[in-house]
Amino acid sequence: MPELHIAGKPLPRPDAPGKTMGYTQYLDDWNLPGMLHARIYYSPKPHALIRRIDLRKALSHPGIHSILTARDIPGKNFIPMMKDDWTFLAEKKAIYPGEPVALIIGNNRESVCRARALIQVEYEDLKPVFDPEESLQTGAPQVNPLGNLIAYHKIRKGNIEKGVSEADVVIEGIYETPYQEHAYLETLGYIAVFHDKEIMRVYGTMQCPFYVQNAVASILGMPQNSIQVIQTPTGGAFGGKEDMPSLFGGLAALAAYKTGKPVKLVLDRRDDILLSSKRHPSRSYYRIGAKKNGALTFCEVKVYLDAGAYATLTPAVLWRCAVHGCGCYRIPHVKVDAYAGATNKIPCGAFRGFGSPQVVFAMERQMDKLAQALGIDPLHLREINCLRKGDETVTGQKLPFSVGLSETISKARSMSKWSKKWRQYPLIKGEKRRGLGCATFLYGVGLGAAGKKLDHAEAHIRIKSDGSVVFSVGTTDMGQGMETVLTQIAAEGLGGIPMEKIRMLPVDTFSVEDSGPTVASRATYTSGTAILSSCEKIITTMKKTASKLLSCKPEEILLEKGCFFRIKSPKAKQIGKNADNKKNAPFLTFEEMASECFSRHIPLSEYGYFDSPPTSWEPETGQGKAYVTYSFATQIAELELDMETGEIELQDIWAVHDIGKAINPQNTEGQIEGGVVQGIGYALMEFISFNEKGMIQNPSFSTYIIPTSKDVPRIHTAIVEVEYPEGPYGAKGFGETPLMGVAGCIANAVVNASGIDISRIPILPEYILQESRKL
Amino acid sequence: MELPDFDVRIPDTLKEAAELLARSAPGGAMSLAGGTDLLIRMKEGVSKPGMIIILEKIGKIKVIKASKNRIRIGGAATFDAIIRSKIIQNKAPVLAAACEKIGSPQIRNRGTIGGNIANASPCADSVPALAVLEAEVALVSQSGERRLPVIECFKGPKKNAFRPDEIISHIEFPAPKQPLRSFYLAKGQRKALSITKLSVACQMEIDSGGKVKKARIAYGAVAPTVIRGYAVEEFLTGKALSPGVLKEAEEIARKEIKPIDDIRSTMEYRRIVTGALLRRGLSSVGKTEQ
Amino acid sequence: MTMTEDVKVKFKLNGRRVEASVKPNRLLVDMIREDFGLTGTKIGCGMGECGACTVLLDGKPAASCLILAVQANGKTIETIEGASPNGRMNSLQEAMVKEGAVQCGFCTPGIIMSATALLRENPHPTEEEIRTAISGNLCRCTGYQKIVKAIKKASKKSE
Repeated sequence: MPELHIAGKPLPRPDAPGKTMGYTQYLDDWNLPGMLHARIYYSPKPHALIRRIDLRKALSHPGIHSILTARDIPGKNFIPMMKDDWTFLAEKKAIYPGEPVALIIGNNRESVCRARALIQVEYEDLKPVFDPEESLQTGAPQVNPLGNLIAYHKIRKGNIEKGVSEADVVIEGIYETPYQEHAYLETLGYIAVFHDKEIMRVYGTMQCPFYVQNAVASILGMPQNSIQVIQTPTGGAFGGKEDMPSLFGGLAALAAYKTGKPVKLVLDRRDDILLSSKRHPSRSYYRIGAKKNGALTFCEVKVYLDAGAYATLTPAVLWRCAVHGCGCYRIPHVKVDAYAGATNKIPCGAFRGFGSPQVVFAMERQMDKLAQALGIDPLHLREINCLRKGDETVTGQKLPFSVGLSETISKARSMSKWSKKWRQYPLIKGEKRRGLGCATFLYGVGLGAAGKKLDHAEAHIRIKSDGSVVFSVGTTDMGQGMETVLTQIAAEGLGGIPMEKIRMLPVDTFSVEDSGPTVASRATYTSGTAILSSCEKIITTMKKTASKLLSCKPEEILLEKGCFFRIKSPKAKQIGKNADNKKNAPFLTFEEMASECFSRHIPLSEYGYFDSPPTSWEPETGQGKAYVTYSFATQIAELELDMETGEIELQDIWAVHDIGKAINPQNTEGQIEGGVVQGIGYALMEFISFNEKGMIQNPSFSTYIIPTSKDVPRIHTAIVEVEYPEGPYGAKGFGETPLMGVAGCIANAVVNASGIDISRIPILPEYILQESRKL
Repeated sequence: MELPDFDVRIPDTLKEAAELLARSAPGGAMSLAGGTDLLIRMKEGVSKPGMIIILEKIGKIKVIKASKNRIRIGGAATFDAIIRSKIIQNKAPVLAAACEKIGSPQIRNRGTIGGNIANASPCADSVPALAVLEAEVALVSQSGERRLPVIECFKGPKKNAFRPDEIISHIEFPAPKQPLRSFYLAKGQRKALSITKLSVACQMEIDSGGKVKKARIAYGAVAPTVIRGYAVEEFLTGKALSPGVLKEAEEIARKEIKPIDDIRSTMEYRRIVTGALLRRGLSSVGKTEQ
Repeated sequence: MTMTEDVKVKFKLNGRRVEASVKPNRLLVDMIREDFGLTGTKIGCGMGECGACTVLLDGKPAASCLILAVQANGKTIETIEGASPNGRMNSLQEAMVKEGAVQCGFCTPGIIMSATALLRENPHPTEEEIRTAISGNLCRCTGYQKIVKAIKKASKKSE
């Protein structure tokens, strides 16, 4: 690894000054002349035929321009996602409360808001189903037009009976996890402009502009070269802006197409919570076994995800769920069956972790129960079984490099002073208890074998004639800091020029090609690799030109801190480090080179491409190289528990992550701290409440509770860097992992403190109290 | 989240405000102090007044003052002003403690005690504290002033006992001669920005022999309205706060509340923890006495 | 439907005397954003539950989505745009950038307003006081730790 000057440093984010001064314009911060406003009318019914839609009253409300229904769609009423089941506007049937039926367009927000209440729809109720296991039974009402089994994945490794017979101890458990709302601070919002009635331009808050491009192509029946989707600064996403922008961005485009005017569709918080996808709730059935020495012999999992009414991203979520279901351990015999059943509720989609936090929680509870049965320190049990370099995952994938799991365990052990505390805490009796719990886990980086088709990325770098640089990529920054990290990679890749010289352009479907979605912790290593490849090409050209100007061979050019030095021989490269020698060496600055290349008609504009290393998957056995590589982590929670009020007071969380290489350690810490706090919400307070008609009962921040500044403990982060040779500077993706283990380690700490069994989250005080009274 | 149309008036005096209210049809006009409850209710479509009478120019109803033996808080005094008031900190710390539990700094800076009462929520934090202070609410209308004990201000959840033409001008309660023992303990779903799911307020006088001379207890969010803990009060009177007495008080408290299951908590949790908080609070009060 | 007349409001906005004519049901946040074009103040929930719309009203943090525009009359309002009038970050903003306290940025202006009010009144707050001061500002990205650190750092600078 060469010495790095910019990548690997905790440099400040280029987007932060504008955000702190309030200059950064998010979607709702700007307007266009003559712009109309739109609002969604949605069905309040879980399952009903739409008999009649009466728009007369609503249309006569002052300020209303028009109201669109499914009949007004010129293209296809299908949102391209994983299956062809999802409609923009319900036509004959509405299958969940919150399903869009009509789009109200008017002069201002007030009018469209008031007119919505005047729309009258006659429904004929059908029998709904709200539980995914019930929905998969014969005789259940058909929810999804393509059938209630949205997806099924399985893994078969070894021989499960053999694994059972070899086990000295077998542990069973049933686990449940809740819905989780993304609660990004900026709600969904889109502006569509039908430019010259030729180009449909859609601006908005989103993760995946190319998904939106395809959605607009579908709803309007237009070719991709007539659709320009531009991402605006995005106020948080966490997966929640993967699927939903296709729906709402598509509807905004429809409105602009029909009215010929710019249209803004911004959801208020209530609508955003009611109408947007969530994390899948799960129920899982576990059985694992081990020998007396702690070595796992088998793992058997059956897991059900509640998909909601439409598939959106469920097949991919379920696949990740299946692959992550047995944790980060060496297990010879594995059987996993993962089902996603359709229900008459809001569709579930992507949320940080993407189907894995559910099963990580379950598996990590299983591991602690096993440790208890065996009388082994639970962290040690994980050390015994954890995947190491050269081991095989449950899908039979050999891990040839970048496996820092055991390092994360030992680091977390010493940071938290685990060994001493873990044994002592259960001895404390009385009202106030203390507990320590751990979770270890892996995360498959990128889209993996299930998302192969999309797993490529493009970058385009151009050097301006004054030496300033612009680059475009197809992945997005939604707050996680991709712009910073990619700018650092570009600055490093261009020979150490200052970050300030480089600008990332807004992500625009007209400036790069489809680079896949910004999900699965993939932006750094996909776009980063593409950037490095375009940087290399540019540097080669610049060195060649420099050698001509400095009358030497290209290999005699040394590029350092943005200067092209002529050195005597490749051997003399060390003199580059010697200031005195370098002072005497003839050189050209990056700016001079840019200007020289420009006037000599030597283009400094290059594409770089990332093509995913191969992955594979055999659907009948669930065997193959599921992901290109894995990130690993150990998280430990320490808490105080009040047995009389059931309240948990988190004290400390240690989060140790193997991410290959931190391109920006400060950003990395920020991702860990933020992810951990989302995990705390998931573990302790967040849930969606439904009424008997499947309607969400808590669509606000006073009823859907997320952590405040007063609800979070000290978070101690540590980064382990076991280089991933195929990633930029050794980096692998990790943005999702910080959330994944939190529920498991908190649950295990609660058990350590109280002896109360936890098999469900969120762990509410109400539950602790109920159980503590049984003790 | 759009507000309906309405007209607005900003009167300079209480008299003017009362006139405006009297002139409008019942429910047609509503007075707005901080707006942190009313505007939410209007955005939700629960309240639809045709006219809003903003009270903030009426300086008189923002004042907090102490006379010889009474403390008077203007109906439009903000929670923040109450928390910061030396008078309240010294003479009615239970009210300051309760107001600190409310919402967030943004809400405490705008929300008013009058609004908290008028909103008639069983989980309003200031109300149990006012109940143990034996506060009276002064209501002004064109027909004059009338007073209601705070505990009689509520008919049910979100239903106050006021006439639509009345304005809360102030709240008044006796000032203790010497500082009394008190506490306000509440639980919410999180530590800030939280709506209380159960609470207990208490103020008591303990005689030189360590026996309870007078106890006032009130509970929040465990009945359709804030309620007084009469049974516990009676039980404690004349007793020393021994562990046995505390244990019994805890059980009596559990019997005299009427909690329900809702989105924030369960009936069982509220019942048990309300008792536990009362016992803990009493225990700490007893300790400081020694 | 009631016909309502516009109301004239005069107030001080970021140090300047301004006036506007507003409908009675206009919210302060909409007036600031739309009539004055100061879009640094964000709308996160519209119900006073997230703090993204925090402005200083007579020096105190307030949720501008729960205040009528007419209530601004005669008051002093400060928004995020007033925190760096020359386009240069103040020491608190600089600390937020340096400490990595900004991610998606949507909560940032509100947090800066809350912290500004805190530091004016209490130049050397404890961690607990900082956490209380920003407890009405939800952040879903950062986990708050770096925000608290940045505010602490800014307070040390003012020593």
